[in-house]
Amino acid sequence: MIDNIYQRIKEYLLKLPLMTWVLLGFFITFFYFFIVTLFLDPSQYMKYFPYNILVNSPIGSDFRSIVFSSSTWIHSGAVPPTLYPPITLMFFVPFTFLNDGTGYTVLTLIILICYVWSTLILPRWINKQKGISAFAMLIFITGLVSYGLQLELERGQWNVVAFTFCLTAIYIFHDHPHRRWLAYLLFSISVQLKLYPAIFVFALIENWSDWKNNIRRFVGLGIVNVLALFIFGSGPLVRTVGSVVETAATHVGLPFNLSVSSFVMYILSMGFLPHAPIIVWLQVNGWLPQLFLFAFFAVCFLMILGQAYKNGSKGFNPWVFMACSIGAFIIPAISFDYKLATFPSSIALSIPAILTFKESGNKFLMILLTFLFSVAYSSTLYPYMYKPEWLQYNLPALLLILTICTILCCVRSEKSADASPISKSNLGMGRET
Amino acid sequence: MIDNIYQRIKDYLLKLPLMTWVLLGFFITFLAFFIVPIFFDSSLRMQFNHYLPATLPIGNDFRVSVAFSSTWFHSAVVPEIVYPAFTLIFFSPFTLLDGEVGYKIFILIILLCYVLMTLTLPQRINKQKNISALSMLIFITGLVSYGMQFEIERGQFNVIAFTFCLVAVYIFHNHPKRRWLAYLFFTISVQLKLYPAIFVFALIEDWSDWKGNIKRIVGLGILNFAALFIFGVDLIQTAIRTIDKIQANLPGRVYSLSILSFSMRILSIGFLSRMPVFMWLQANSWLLQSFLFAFIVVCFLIILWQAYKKNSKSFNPSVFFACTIGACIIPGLSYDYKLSLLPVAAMLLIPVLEYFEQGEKRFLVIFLTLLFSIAYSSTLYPYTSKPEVLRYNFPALIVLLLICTALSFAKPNKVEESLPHTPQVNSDGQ
Repeated sequence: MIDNIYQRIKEYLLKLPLMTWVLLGFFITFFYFFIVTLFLDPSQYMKYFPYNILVNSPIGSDFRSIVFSSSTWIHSGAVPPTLYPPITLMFFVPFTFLNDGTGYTVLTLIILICYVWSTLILPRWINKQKGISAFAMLIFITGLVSYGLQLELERGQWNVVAFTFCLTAIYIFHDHPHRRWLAYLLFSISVQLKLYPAIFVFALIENWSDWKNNIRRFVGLGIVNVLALFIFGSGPLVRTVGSVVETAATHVGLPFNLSVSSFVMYILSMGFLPHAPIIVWLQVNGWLPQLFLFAFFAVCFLMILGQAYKNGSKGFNPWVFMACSIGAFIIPAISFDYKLATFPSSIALSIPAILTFKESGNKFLMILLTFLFSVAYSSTLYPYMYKPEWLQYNLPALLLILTICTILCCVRSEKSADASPISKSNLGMGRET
Repeated sequence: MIDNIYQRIKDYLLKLPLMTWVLLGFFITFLAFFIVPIFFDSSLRMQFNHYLPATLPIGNDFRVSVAFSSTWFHSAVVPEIVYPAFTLIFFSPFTLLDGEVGYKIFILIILLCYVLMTLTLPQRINKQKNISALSMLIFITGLVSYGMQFEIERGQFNVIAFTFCLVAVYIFHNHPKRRWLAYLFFTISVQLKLYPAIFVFALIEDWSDWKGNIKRIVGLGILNFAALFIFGVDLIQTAIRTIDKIQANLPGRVYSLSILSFSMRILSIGFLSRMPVFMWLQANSWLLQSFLFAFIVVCFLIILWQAYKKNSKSFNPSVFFACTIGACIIPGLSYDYKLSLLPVAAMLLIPVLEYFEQGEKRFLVIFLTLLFSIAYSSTLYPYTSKPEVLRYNFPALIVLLLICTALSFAKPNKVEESLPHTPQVNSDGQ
């Protein structure tokens, strides 16, 4: 009798669409990081934590600073040191003709339009979907009100803009092969705006078995982009590197920094760690845990690349793209939470293809991974001050998502022979082909 | 040449799926009521407003209801309350818990009820297999909306009462053999909040069977009226006096949805000219209230008449939507936390919009969809984020009622035909 009931419950749960588990994951983080923080504070008063620690006055400080640098360059010819590639100064020249307030308003509108473009439209085109799925809508709306995007707007950052250039390049590369020159141009603009999109060069591979052409493309794009960094000579670039090193040194261990180096410093400085000799030794040799985390990322990344090569993958590869996205977050030493504003686009683009039921696949594993992914991803939507101290860093969530992608990539590879077409009905979020 | 370009742009815009216009409406209010107040403040600093009239301790209404229930439970004395007497019984299990634990459980119940009434029940009532993109949009925006946060902050039980009501509607239409259960749930709902009584019009299966319908309405009316006197006549008299007192003390509250409050507010706004007609209206505010009330009644009757004329034979989403608007604006005490019910009504109206997707008068359909989307999404934001003239949600609700009235004129039978097998259109991508 009990066995029968257990069996029926099990069957019912296994038959539920993956969307249910996605929503459950979102709901759990919503409850813990929103409801509990706002409504269940011991003060018995509705608590609304402002990001006072983070916000600057005047608003849009990064935007104002880069426009000021751009204006200095235009009017005096001197290239001031910034934290960004020198071409950024050219990109912001049009804003020097506007007053600060108008410029910030225009940038905010551009960011929002880019967000809609990169999260709602491009993923649909790249995945060749006809309409908007429920999953895409969930990702779009939650991302629109997320902490990452709010921080991006507050600072007047341009990660979403740079990422949109990169994603448009990927779309043109795969869907309009005759216009690849445009894809390379947009990709280069993206790299020259933020540098880290360079990692997405792995998404500009059409045929993984054609390694000769792929290497040629890598080298070509690499040379163009490295040369572009020297557009104002080596002096400004050296000064930029100096500024980056200086800023990186003063911004490690901050909970809104996504980088591996920052996370390691933060963990090692936490009060709850025991004073065992090994911990003390690790605190002195902080490079070792950093190296370990980098190695972990590199192994996952190489496994995903290896699978793409082994399977002779053709066209856009969602696993590689997701691994690149995670890499773009955690590798640079200065990588603040506003970069998370680009995460919804990556998720909307790659996850519908990654999280799918296969006819002969292990459904339990799939459900577990879907649920874990959902919890990990949705936890990145909330500000760090809404979370308990040991969960404030987003790096563990990002590494968890990378691990899930790596597992699914390997599992898919093993079962590639019997992989059925993506079933839309049991997902409610599938890729329409 | 220019004519050709104009024609092509026009054709392109008219061919866009309705979802585009829905999203545009949401985006306009997002820009106006979220981005602008937070990021474009004249202080040049990101704003973190306390967007709710929060009270200390949190969950005030819940705590008061539990305290009253506890008084009644332990001393058998019935305290002065503003809710029907049944709430004393309903909250008695919470008297066994400590205040904090009770509030936590209560929040969980509210959230579960929200999921049930917004995601599960509309899907079943509309007989949809999957969650559509539009449903997801309404579900998520409703979950983080100001109305829902207000409901949780006060520890209100509109969502719970409404869930009982919706379950009743679902059972009534989908499980005719268990209608006794539907009547029971409906009665619980009415005895919790009174205003769900208006949803008796959603408990009509065959609009031409007016004898059976009147019998049901009268039966449920008598049952619910009698249930109000469960603790005697005195309690009702006291409750009415308390409500009157609150109404008199709190007129023109910006977070009130009622006709009474809106008309008081409008007549007290400084920018109205000092013309004799306005002075006279201020002295005779009942006139404006009566006019607004009559307007709502007319819209409501048109929708009912259309349902009757079309000989509607199943759940009627337009009637349900009109009932929801009525439940929000007719009672004298009706605060913004009741807006947490609106997502359900919007969700149930989706099939009607989907029917319009295939309609002929494309421009009108786009216009109504955009307007609906703007009006609906404007209710998701707190009044603190809106300019003075738009702070009251009453006008938005009237616009929604007007659009619903227009939708009720949809060609006979087509809407009902679309319900059992909701068409999957491009806009939803399902």
